[in-house]
Amino acid sequence: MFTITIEQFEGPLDLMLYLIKEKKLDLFDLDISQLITQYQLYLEHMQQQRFEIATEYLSELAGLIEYKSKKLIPTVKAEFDPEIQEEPLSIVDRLLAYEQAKRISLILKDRYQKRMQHLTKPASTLEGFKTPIGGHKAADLYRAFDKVMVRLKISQPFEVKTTNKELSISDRVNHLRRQIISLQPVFTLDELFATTHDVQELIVTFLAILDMIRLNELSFTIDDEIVYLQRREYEQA
Amino acid sequence: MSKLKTKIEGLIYIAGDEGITLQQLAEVTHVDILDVEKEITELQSHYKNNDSALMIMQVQDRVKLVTVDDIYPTLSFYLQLKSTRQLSQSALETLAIIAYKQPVTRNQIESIRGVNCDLMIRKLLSLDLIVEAGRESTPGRPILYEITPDFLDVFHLVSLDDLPRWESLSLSESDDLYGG
Repeated sequence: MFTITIEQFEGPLDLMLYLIKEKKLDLFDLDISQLITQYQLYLEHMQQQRFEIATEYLSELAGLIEYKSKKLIPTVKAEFDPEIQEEPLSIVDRLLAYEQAKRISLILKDRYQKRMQHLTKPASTLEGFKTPIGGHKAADLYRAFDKVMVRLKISQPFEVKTTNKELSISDRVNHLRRQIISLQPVFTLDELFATTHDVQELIVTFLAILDMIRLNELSFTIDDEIVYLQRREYEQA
Repeated sequence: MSKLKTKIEGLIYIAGDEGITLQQLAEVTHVDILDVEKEITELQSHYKNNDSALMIMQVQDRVKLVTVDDIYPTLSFYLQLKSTRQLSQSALETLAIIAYKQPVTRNQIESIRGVNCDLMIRKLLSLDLIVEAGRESTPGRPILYEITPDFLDVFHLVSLDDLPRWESLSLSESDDLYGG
């Protein structure tokens, strides 16, 4: 009967719009009773299929019924009502607005996909012109860490809070020892930081890695700003 | 190539993904902003007519050099790019509403979408696609949101005028919204 599951809809308005198209109802001269019937049938069907119905869907159903009953009751218009409030948007207006938003979202989606096919390079800086002296310097690690920090900033939702935290490097070393067993023998610094969510943890993790390098438990190589780490035991095995 | 054009091209090149504004280009090269615009138009057609791998992309008054999309399959194969990061349907709908109705409150967005948008708004803020733009002077003084230059960039828009007008979009005519 219904081939589309509720999870494929973005919300109650999306579902209504789908039903209107599917049942060929006229959006501009909307038969609310028809829409309510179809909407209810659909929700019942989904419940039988054991899909979870979000409360938003039920509250919109209530809204539809309220809208319909208001239309049935003749309204006496007061000549002047000081308490008159701005009419909330009718369901038809909301459906039209939602349909527009959906149409624009398709345009945006198309533009986004096209835009993602244009690649670019990071801005040039003087850093790139420094002559490397010998092997890897602390600055290489610093730059790699800097890159991780930028990534953290991008991925972190906007939030401000202050907390007190005590993290010990030796605890972190122990934790890392357990963590890296599950990783490939050679892994990148970024992989290790992927699960790190705040700055303190990031710093302690970084110090712990340096400590493990000092203890010869890890070795590292740097290729093009990507830091590769390797477990020592694996080398011996 | 005139010297000015060469300078401008060089500046755009080193600006990389940050891009450079027309104003900055004019200041550095000591010419009028109109001259900069003229040179950029010429550069754009030069790239286009010579099958170049590069093109100049403009967002607001900021230009940057990017690769053309025809060669994307080759480049992404070389870079071992996994599928590009996608924006979810709900993210796109929310962005569409903000772009057209800005500055707009969370409530106004929710009344169009019919679902709670709290998390989505926070996600879009963290992606720098939208930004808080003061508060509405109604009770509760709700926060207003508007789109950012990054929004224009990820959808390759010089400005919002590049999008069709809200009213001009055909209403309820085509049924392509649900795939036929």
